[in-house]
Amino acid sequence: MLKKRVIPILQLNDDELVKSIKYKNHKYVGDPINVVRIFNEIQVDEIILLDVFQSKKSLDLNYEIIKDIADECRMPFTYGGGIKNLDQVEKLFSLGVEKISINTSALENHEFIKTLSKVFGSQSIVVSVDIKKDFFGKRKLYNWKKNKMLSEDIQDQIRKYVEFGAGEILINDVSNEGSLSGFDFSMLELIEKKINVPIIVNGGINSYEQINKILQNDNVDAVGVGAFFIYYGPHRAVLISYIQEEERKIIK
Amino acid sequence: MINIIKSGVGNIGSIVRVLEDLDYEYKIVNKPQDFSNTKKIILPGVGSYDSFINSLIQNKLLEEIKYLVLKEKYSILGICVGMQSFFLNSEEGSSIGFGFIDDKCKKFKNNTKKVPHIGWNKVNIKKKSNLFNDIKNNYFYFAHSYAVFETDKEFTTSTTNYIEDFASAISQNNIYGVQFHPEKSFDQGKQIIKNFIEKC
Repeated sequence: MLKKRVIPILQLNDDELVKSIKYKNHKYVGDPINVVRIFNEIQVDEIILLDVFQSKKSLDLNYEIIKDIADECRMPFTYGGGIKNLDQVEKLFSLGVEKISINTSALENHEFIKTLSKVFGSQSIVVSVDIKKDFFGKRKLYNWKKNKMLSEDIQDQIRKYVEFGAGEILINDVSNEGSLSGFDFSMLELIEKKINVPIIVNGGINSYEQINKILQNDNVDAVGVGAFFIYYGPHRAVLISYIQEEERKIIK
Repeated sequence: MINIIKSGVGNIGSIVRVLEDLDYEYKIVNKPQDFSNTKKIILPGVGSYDSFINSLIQNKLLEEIKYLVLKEKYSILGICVGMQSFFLNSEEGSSIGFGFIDDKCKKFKNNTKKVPHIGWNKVNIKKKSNLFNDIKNNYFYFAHSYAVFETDKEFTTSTTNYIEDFASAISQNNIYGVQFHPEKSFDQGKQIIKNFIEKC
């Protein structure tokens, strides 16, 4: 039986781990290497690391710190942030990254997904989709680099990504991200049954019950968790944690 | 020194780290002259089938590995696409593999479940193999869309179920392959690599 995955999502800025609320107010949470060591000890299913401001910078990727993190990871490691070309991806894989996640460059250039999946195989390509509520509470695709809501249909967009060779789709609820206010289960209605690649959902999770409940949904394969595994208590004290084996009720 | 093949898009970082953890000496091989005379080769695979095989051909490694394995009796461990390359060919591409084993790789029929098969899944041992000595936890990490579905043949060491049963580990003489990623599967994965180096 394939286990459904619970994946800590970490945000990087320069060589520090940070955590945002709704993609704003990024606060320092710690040293990435230390945090990865803790996740090694706990034996988490996977890790996703997103270099959050990289897509807004013109600089090349932060390979030195990515390599240090990959060196430390004893579990599968997905990197995302600022990926624009094949050379970068080749370099990332050579450093020990298992999967790469693209977001802005997928929005801007569908052909890039095709090329990536042709060269590296779709099993290593995650396409990340940001979704945000507009002024009227309607969910829209969101371009974080341009801080802009997009008019394209969300489900159409996801279908296109899969058709072009995305191996996994990571769906982020930006309106809820980092808020610890609870996952909005209506997000799951966006996921069509016919999407036949693994789906990871992320945003606002604040309890083990929620994790289990999300994973009971047949269309969801994995859940991404940020703040809930990073903070403890009402004052957001940094304390790295994970779901205990006995609290995991779900095996696919 | 254990020979680790670095060809094209290969992810060798994770394998190197496991060998360092286990205190083995290794050599990174990207051309035929690089091979050490330690008769162990690890062939990690990342990338699509064609890009993987083509980079082996371009670096003149395909023929050299074939020679070392078949004539010089080097033991080889293929990982993921590395294992798939031991067969004749794959539905993923048009290249010809090593052909050590007379079978082929096919795509999962994804009418019921999602493809790629990504995550932690159970490995069921079918045939005694030193590769699986002292393995206590038999969940390993997989990430693939293609597999070898022959599960009742002599070469099948273990099977795993996803949509249908497939060969998750194979062995034939000095040739070993795993469809999962031991280098990303915590202690149980490390043990597989240790077993290959010490007992295969």
